[in-house]
Amino acid sequence: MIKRLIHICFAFAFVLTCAGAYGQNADFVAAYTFIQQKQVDSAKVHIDRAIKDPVTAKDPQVWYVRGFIYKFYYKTKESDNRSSPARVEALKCFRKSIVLDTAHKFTSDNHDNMKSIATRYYNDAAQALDTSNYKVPILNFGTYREIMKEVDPSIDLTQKETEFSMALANIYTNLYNKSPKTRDNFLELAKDCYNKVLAVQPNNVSANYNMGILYYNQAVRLIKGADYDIDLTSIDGIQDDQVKLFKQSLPLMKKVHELDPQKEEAIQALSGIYFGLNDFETSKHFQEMIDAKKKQNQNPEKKEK
Amino acid sequence: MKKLVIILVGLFLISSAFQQKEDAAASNAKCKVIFLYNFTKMIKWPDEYNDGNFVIGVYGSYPPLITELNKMANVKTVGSQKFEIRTVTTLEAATKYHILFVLNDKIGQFSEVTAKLKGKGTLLITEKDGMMKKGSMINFVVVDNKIKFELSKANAEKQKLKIAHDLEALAVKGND
Repeated sequence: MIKRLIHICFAFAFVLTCAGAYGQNADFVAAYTFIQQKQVDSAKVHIDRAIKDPVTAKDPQVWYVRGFIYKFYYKTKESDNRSSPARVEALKCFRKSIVLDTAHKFTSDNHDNMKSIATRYYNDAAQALDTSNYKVPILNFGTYREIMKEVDPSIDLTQKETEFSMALANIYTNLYNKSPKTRDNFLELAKDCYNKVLAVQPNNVSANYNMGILYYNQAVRLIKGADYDIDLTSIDGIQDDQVKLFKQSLPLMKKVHELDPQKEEAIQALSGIYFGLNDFETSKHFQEMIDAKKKQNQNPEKKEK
Repeated sequence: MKKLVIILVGLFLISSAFQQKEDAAASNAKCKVIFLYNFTKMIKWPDEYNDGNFVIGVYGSYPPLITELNKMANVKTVGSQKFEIRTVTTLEAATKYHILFVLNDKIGQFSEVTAKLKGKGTLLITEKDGMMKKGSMINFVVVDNKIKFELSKANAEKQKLKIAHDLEALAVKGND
């Protein structure tokens, strides 16, 4: 809020000092005046006229102010609209201002406003991401990434990209789980997301675990979903596919166990994978580890001794 | 700035959520049930076994198998015979079983089982190495991480059971 007021004061001072230069463009001055009074609709009308005036059409400050007014319009009137046209327009204005601003007088202000818009896109992506609405958040996150890279090409967005990919993978997995037989495209999308994460963070426990569980569940469901009438040759083929999937799950879950030996979900999953591979001795070994942990949790005194 | 931090936390919670895993034991049991259902179509029982329910007994404890057998019993039949699934705790010689699946926790009593059910037309199924030599007719084995089965035509014939050639061909080995 304070920052915005500083901007407005700065801008208004600029109008006063430059009144001579822009005196002939009443719309530009009027837009300033109206936005200072928070009369954004009127400010919008005048600034839209100002950019059509040949005298001010190529002025970076005019475009910066227009961006500011449209951003203000978005925040006051379209903040619930994740595809807000005013926000898109504001972004265009800041970009145009940067292009016209060969003296780099407004670069910092333009960048600050673009980062502020980027943050809004990121927030929208995070808030809206759910199983019924995931396409707009994907676009919003893409816009966030694009703006941030534009403002600072050296910025490292790995952490945020990872978080978003993980969240998206969970959404895809939930969509797949709702109807595994008809929605296996979501399974592949989820795997793509986890692969993206694992490419940059091979030791990410959640990504390894969830990817392992995807393969594991896919394997289990192959048989669970099979019809009783399938013949013995077909069941052999299903088992072949099942073994492949369990074996894809195994190294991921082993890695989780290495990274976090206390993680009970991974031990449980390892027991399940070996059971699925019909290696009952190894499965039992991991099950006994779980049982021992449960016992230990029930009698914490013994642990201390 | 404050808002950004709140949202980052929100995303982190979503992104670190662990997916739930399915039950491998249920899958293993379902696989065996599919085998069993196929056996009912490829083995012929003596005529006196064609009336009443088709009885499958499970001797020993493996709850997922009972669950999966009951699921099958709800939707499938053997000809006009309905399936009847029984958990066997004490083996009664008088009971007429079409199939008796002797699990490993009761395998120590297998000689008693064969003695009680001798010549009674019961298909004895086991899942432990070496059981064919002890009178089992079908024995589940693990080959390359997959469930397969051994079959003894000779043991089956002693129980007056007729095995289809196709089933013999699919068995991994027998002691005949």
